[in-house]
Amino acid sequence: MQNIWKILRITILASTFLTFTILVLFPTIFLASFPLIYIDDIRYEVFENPLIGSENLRLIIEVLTFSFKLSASTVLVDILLGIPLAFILARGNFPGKLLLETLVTLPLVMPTSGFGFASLLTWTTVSGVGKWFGLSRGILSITSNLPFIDVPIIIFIVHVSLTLPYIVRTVQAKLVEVDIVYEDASRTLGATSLTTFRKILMPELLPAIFSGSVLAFARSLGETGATIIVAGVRLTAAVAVVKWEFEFKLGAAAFLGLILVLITWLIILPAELFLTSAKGGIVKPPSLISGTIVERALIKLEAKFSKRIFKNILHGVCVALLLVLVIVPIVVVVESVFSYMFKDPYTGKTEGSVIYQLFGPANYLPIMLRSTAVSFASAFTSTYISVFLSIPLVYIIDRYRVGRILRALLKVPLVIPSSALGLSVLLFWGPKFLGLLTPSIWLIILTQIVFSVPVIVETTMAVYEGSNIKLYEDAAKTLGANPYHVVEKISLPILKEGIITGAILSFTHSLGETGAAMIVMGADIPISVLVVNMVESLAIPAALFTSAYLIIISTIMIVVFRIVSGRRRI
Amino acid sequence: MGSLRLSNVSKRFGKVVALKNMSLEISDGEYVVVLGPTGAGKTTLLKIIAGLLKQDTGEIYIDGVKVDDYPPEERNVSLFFQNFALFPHMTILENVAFGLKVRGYDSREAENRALEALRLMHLDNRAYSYPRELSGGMQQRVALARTIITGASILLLDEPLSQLDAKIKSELQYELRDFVKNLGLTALHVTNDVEEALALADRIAIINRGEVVQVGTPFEMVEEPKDVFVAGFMTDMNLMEGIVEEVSTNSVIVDIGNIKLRSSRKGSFRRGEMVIVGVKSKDFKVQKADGELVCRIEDSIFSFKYRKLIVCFDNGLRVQVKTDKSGLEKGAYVSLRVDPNDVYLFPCPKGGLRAAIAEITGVS
Ligand SMILES: Nc1ncnc2c1ncn2[C@@H]1O[C@H](COP(=O)(O)OP(=O)(O)O)[C@@H](O)[C@H]1O
Ligand SMILES: [Mg+2]
Repeated sequence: MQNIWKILRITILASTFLTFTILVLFPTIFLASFPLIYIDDIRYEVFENPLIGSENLRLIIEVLTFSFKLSASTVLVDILLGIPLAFILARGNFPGKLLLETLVTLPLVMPTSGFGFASLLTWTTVSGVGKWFGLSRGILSITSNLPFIDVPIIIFIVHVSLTLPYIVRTVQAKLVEVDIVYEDASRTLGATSLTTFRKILMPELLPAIFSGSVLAFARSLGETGATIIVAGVRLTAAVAVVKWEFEFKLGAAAFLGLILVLITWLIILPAELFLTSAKGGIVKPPSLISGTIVERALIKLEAKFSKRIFKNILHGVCVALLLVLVIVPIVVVVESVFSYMFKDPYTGKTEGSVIYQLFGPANYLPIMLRSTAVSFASAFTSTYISVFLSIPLVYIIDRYRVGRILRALLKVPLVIPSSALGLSVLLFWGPKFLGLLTPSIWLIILTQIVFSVPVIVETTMAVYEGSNIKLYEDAAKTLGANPYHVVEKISLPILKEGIITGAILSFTHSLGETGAAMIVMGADIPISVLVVNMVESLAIPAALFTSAYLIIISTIMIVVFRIVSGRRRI
Repeated sequence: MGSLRLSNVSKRFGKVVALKNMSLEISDGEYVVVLGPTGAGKTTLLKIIAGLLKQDTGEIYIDGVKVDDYPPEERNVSLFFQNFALFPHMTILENVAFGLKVRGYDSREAENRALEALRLMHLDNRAYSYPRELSGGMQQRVALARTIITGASILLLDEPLSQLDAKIKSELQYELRDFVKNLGLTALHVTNDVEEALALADRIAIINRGEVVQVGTPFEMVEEPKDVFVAGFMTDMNLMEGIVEEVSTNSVIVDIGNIKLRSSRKGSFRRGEMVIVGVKSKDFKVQKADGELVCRIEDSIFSFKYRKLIVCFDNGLRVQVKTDKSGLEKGAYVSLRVDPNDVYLFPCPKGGLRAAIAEITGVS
């Protein structure tokens, strides 16, 4: 009997490991072979082009610089906006809290292309907010730049909305965990609320702020779906990878993709080291100013601004900004669908109506339905496969020495720009290497598996480490349960929450992903890419309808999820 | 300066009433101990005074000033937390110096004072450790040091000595009281340990179910308990249910299942009324069996300087007796005597004796 269980276990773990290696690991690692495969193309296109010399290199540097300025300023604003919001959600107790929380999470589950289009419409066109103020144009131009750093405001605010959840959620989770008694103690010892924040909470929150920032930065660096829509003529690095791939500048695309991956790694690795070395997850900031004159002045200053009124103003401003960034585009899109329903409200032409584009000669409806089918089929299949891969993987990661390396490798698909990932998957399975698959829904599924497995493993791992699961398993064993019973009755029920959360996150992520899909989809266009195509072919009413449709689907999904999982946060 | 006045303070958490119309007055420099079973509302009371919780109704005055709208840091109080709340990312010294530093003290001076307080707690040699490296009792002393040196004139201490060994506890009790008295601080100290309360308090307030039951000096509380609850909480009284049999001008005779006791303490009772009789175990005198109040020694437990006897009467009634007589063996028959002045009578509470005892032990 003992032997059967052993054989069974080894079979399951070994087959999981094999599948995982082929489906996830190879395509991920394959990135590193870019320069080898493309060495000639890269030299030809980037460094020694007979016609334009190193013009492409200059371009690469330009898009990288631009991306960096964009992502850095995005993260900065995320932090400023995100910390107060995290506080409101973690410490506050007010009627609309659940709603606010859902609102913060929405950009995570919303297909970014749809949201990007909604924002574009809202801020830069006459159909948007401009109309409400009686303007005959948008309140922003697509080329209005932020002062000093030359980043278009519209790209910037879209990136802030899309990456804000990463900071808010990580900081909020940490705040919930930190016992409020420390803040209470500090207050009764005479510290004002701001001094308490600086001296008591900051050390606890720094790791969370840091890891949230890293995620937000990586996400911003790799964001494709919304950026491609709002960027106009500006190119971010992630978008450039997609564009160049379309223009068959494969060498340049691969080179840029590789640089992006390397940069992401350079950011993630030290962050990981820093965080794992922090004792008990608390970073002790050097107390350079403790007890000095500077600190005493600081304390006085903090006392001045610790009044409740300032806190209320700050919170009000943050919530208002969140509402403006997330709710207004949704409202505008839905409203526009109605005003464009039967005719273009400005020219009065019926050709410019939603109905006409869906059912008229352009006949977008069947295309849309097919795309919906592609999206849901691929997202469902990839999530389904990923769940079955992830559960044994959690065990492998915990029980075997390779586990730690596996876990570190699994961070790669989570943070690298999805367009680079798509390129890697395409190269691995496609004609350049294995030659097994051409771009199609199958490649979409394979790509989605690559980034879904890490998501499910991480959420499950979090529950695994947070629960005393080994103790319960041992207890069950001593009570006479066989391995099957242990898994069925003890492990899976405990891990269920993590698995479900991971599955939902990976499903919505797969549904909304744009950058990688554009590269691997071939003729099977998923709905998120369809929006981009509609915008590029200027089928605005169709894009409107599709965006509204996507936003409504994702809102329904998040609400359903909330109901299913009670009050748990995703 | 640090007088404190609570006027009709009430607080509820949903359906649970934590404080009910509580009024309490503490004058400057006074050491008041609040006693009460678990769940009586002691912690809630301190948190409200500290400004961490807001009362539903009623007012709080510190030095005559209404402080209901003051944030915690402006109330001139310092709270010792029942679970310490030592900041995990700071050393012991940093923890203790925190309150001074955030009040704008120079760091050298703050740390010197912190070290002094740590010395008082016998912990100056652990100044550079982190809280997690200390035992529960040590952490408690650190938290105490941190609370008492903030410069606030009112100390709110929530069971500050609960985790200490008996030896160090009795030593620290006196040092704590000394410290408070020498600096002229005001202390509101919460505990459920009666001996601690007796040792420390100028005045004791007993609370139960969010209400003040009785306030008085330790002597008053022990000698003149107002009801069964206070008597049971403050003393080791034997409490028995009885019926008033005879009432005369200055004494009452009570029947406890055929055992008659005479009480000459003040109080108005009617014949036939159900009462609770209380006799402290030290007030029973043991003598040779002589026909009156005869009982059998069921158990005899030796303690420091007296013997504790568990004796049983014919009718099954069991009482505890403290005596310094020797030669009292298990199984022997003896007679008890008690001075009528030492027989307490209390009105019978709702639910009878059983319910009252459950309440005292915090089981209800
Ligand atoms: N935050 C809270 N939420 C709900 N009930 C509470 C809360 N704090 C205290 N209580 C309730 O109020 C009563 C008094 O609690 P507490 O003041 O902690 O008692 P004590 O400190 O005397 O043991 C208890 O019944 C307790 O359950
Ligand atoms: Mg308490």
